[in-house]
Amino acid sequence: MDHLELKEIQDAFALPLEEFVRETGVRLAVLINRSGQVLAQHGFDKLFDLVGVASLAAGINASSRALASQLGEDEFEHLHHAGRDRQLFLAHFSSSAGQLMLVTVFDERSSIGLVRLFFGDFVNRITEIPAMNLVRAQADVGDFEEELEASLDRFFQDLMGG
Amino acid sequence: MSLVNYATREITCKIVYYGPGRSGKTTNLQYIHSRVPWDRKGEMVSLATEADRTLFFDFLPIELGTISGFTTRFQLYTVPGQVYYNATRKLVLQGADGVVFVADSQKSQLDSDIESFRNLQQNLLEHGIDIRDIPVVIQYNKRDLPNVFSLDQLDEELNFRDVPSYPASALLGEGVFDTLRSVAEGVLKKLASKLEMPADARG
Repeated sequence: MDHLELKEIQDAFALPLEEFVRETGVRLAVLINRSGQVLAQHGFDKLFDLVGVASLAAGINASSRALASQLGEDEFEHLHHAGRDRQLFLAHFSSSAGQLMLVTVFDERSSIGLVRLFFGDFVNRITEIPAMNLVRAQADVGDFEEELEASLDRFFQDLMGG
Repeated sequence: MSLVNYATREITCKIVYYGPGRSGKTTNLQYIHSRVPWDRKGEMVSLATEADRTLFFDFLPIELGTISGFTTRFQLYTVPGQVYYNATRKLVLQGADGVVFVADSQKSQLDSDIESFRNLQQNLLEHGIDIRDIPVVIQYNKRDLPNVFSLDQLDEELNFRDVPSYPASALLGEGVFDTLRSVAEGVLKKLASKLEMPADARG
């Protein structure tokens, strides 16, 4: 089971993400991994249930990749859904932190052309980021293991009414 | 793939509820959703057909609390159980840190249970994961119904790797949290073996 050090990713991607939002005028840009976990975000995230958006976007992306494969394509470039007021742009890319996805929500203050244009710039900036240490070495975790059972006891006793 | 944020001291893990159609995977999540306080859960997302069968997945984010200074969050997913939805089952399984296999204890459902468990092993393998390398917990659900196999018989048929197993009646909530607790513990113990704790996170 690999794990990622989230702070490393957030630090590395914060500036490119911020620039992407500023240049395109999108309302929200969220970086997620293929499992649908939120790695970083920029914009007005209070408008949305971010974790729900991320899990659904990961589902769309996973199914579109599977569809592409069935149609003999390696992958589809991106997905764009347009509603009356808001639009969604979803695209995946390779990075030093593995395959990631950018989920973008925008309205009339931006456009799909602008988003696509600056997504290219965003990916170029990301590819310049040096490789990250994705898997940490084993180390002393005595306290964590010691506390684990007591913490789980507490949580589940609360839920089960004592 | 679990995420660890040392700066904000957060851990996020993904658990997938797997099993044959109508074994009670969604019911497990619905019960958890109904019992976890609002400040420790997010919205439950269900992608279901008109007949309320899971089409793609159900999703429920919950927070288990703080362990050694780390806020631990779990993202619970179910897969669609029906045989012909294997492509979507495989997609939901990717990146899972732990699996709950929800078996239907009814005698008439044993073949479906076995087929689904084999399917789980196969789909994990296609993601490059040996089932022995990931925390798996089996839940023998629907214990409240007549014509069920005994727990020993079910263990004999399904649990040849001797993973933790729990009887349950998910509709009544029985066994739901025992199962969740067990898989959470398995996942966090496995994560701990790979975790590097900065000095200020200890004690």
